[in-house]
Amino acid sequence: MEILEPIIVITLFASICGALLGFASIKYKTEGNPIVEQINELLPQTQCGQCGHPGCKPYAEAIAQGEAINRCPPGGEAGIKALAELLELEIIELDESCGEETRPRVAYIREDECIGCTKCIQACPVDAIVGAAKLMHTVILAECTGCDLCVPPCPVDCIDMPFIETTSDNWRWDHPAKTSLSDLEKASLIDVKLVS
Amino acid sequence: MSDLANETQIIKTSDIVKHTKYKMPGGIHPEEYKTLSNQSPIRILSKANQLTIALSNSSHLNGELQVKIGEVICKGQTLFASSEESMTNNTHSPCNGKVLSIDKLNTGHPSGLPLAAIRIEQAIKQNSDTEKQRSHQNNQQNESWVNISPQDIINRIHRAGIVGLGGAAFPTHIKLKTSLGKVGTLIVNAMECEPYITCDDKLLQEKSSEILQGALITAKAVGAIKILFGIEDNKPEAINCLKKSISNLIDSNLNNHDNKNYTLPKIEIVIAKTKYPSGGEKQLIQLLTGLEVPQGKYPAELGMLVQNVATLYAINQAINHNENLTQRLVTITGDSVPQPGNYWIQFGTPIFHIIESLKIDCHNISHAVFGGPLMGNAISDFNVPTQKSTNCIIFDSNKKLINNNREASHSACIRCGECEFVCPVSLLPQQLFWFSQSEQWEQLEKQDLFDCIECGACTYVCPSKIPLVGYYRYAKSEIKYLNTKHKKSELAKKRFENRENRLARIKAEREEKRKKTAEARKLAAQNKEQDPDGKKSAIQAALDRVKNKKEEQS
Repeated sequence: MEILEPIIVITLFASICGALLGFASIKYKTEGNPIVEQINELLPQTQCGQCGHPGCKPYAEAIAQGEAINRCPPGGEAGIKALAELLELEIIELDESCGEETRPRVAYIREDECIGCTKCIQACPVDAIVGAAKLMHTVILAECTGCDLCVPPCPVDCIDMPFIETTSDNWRWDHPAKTSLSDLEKASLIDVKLVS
Repeated sequence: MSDLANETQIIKTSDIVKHTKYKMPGGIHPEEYKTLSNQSPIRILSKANQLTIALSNSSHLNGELQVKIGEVICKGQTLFASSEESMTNNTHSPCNGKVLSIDKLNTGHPSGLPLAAIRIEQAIKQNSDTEKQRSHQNNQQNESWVNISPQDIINRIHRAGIVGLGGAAFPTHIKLKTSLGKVGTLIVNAMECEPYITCDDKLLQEKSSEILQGALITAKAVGAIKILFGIEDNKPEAINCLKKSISNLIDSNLNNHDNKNYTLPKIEIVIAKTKYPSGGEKQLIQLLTGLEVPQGKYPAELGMLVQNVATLYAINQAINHNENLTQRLVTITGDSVPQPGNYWIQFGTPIFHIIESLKIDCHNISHAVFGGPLMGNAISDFNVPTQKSTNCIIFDSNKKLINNNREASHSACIRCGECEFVCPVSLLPQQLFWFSQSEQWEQLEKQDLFDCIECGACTYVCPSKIPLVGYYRYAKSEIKYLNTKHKKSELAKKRFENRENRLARIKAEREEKRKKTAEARKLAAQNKEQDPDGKKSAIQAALDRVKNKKEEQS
């Protein structure tokens, strides 16, 4: 009869744990696949489709299923590195069959040549082109991801993809190891005073 | 009345001047080199033939151009009127002359990128424009500023194009507006802690009563009841001049009983020990009051407003003399300059003109710097003009050391911790350096990188000669870039999802519509089978109508 006590205790304990787990699984249920969200967060959201998927989220889902992480040219080296860190994979080189990493660009419609066919509006994955049938179209620069998808459908070839210009507003300081001469000169001015 | 006079007399003689009892963390004591430039009186630099007036430090211009190419303009005329809320400021012509071009030019931004600027050909001879000039300069009769409302004072400051002349060039009217009604103490920044620079010192020595007037006007504009002049103990002459002006002011205020509705604020001079960077806004407040401005907050939260002496001088000129800000006092110094000193220089004067007119030997300059030696920027191009923020220009020679420095990169960090002792914001410069080097952006934000004021004290003491501030600047701009990139990708993600949802919804709606029409068609077909020519349904409908009518009547 001595065996009865531990059996009761263990059964009770197990059922309590089971109930708790069951409760937690309902209470803290996660919507969707969390790893897909995390991967999607690291993708550049250009929605360009160069990876072969219709947007960044589908590619994130594919990566979660085991697809290669080097198929995103806009994300580039930094993107691959971040994905490799998240998924604990090896850092590999960009798959060149998908495209090359370039500086960020934006679409620009040469407005006097636009015939108002609305084809680019339908192609834009982020609704960054405004216009109506037989009326001129234009790109909202702040919302354009530079994905290139509006260029092929244009029947009159009036869309350019210029690089985003560096202005005093988006200009960045150089890494000190690569600093130009003038900055070194400045640093040396301080040194002169230290020595003298 | 005489009792009152005596009382104030006692206050006056006993404590206008005080020594601060508070301290700030960190700081350094570099060699000052101030006697190079503060021994001679203020002079006026000869006028350049052509001026280049920068319109903004940003590529976004928020305002309207007021002149056209080829237009004849006069001194003080508005070239560019900014909108009231924008960070750009009004710009005025420093001279009589003609607009040569409106273009993008290198105006001395650290990136060397061109920015919108107006080039003016200066008319050296005074001509018939003098009348026009008078109409621009003195279009309002001088009334005593005591009767001007605070809002009006701020508007006039905006119109005159005044910015913080300590070096940051932040629009003064915006600073005053955000402090309006919140501020009890006006702190006047006369510390001038960076080596070489003496323009505030000299301005105080020669124009202290004007500066005092400017301080009174500013105090009235924001409703301050106390004015503190913060000054380092290495400027005894400036302190004396200021003391004299303050006693004169108190005396004249006692004799002048007409203005009963104006009470003089309490004015004090607070002397602090010389230490760099005591002139930083938050450092100055800490030194004078012992209070620390909380992270991410402005001094207005503590009821304080800090203004530089040169700014107050400009405010006095704008309110009392209707003069727009078109020139400033600039320290020209360094061992390459034969006559170092402080000069009134029109904005837009190119550096090469300064070199020519002061007879500086070009071959003897191995580095030229805008601002002081610790926080300044190297001048990359001698065509670059002076700007509102240009308080000092250093021309120095020492070729040997430059060559050494050019070849050798810095040594490794030896973790000596010197930088930690001198940081005025109590950061951990060494940690910041390691994280910047390994590009750990999140860690840097956690270590409060954005509280760094880039004073350069850590760089100055580093025995390995690591350009620490360079690393922090790099890290800051990289983090800002990544943040804007992240924001943009978040927006794109949202817009993409919205579009996907919309397309799905449209598809579903279409599908439903198709189903409905199909069902309707099916129903119609069924009806047709039972009632081929529609007579039955017509009779049924007529019966229903009669039934309804009957019900209504009863």
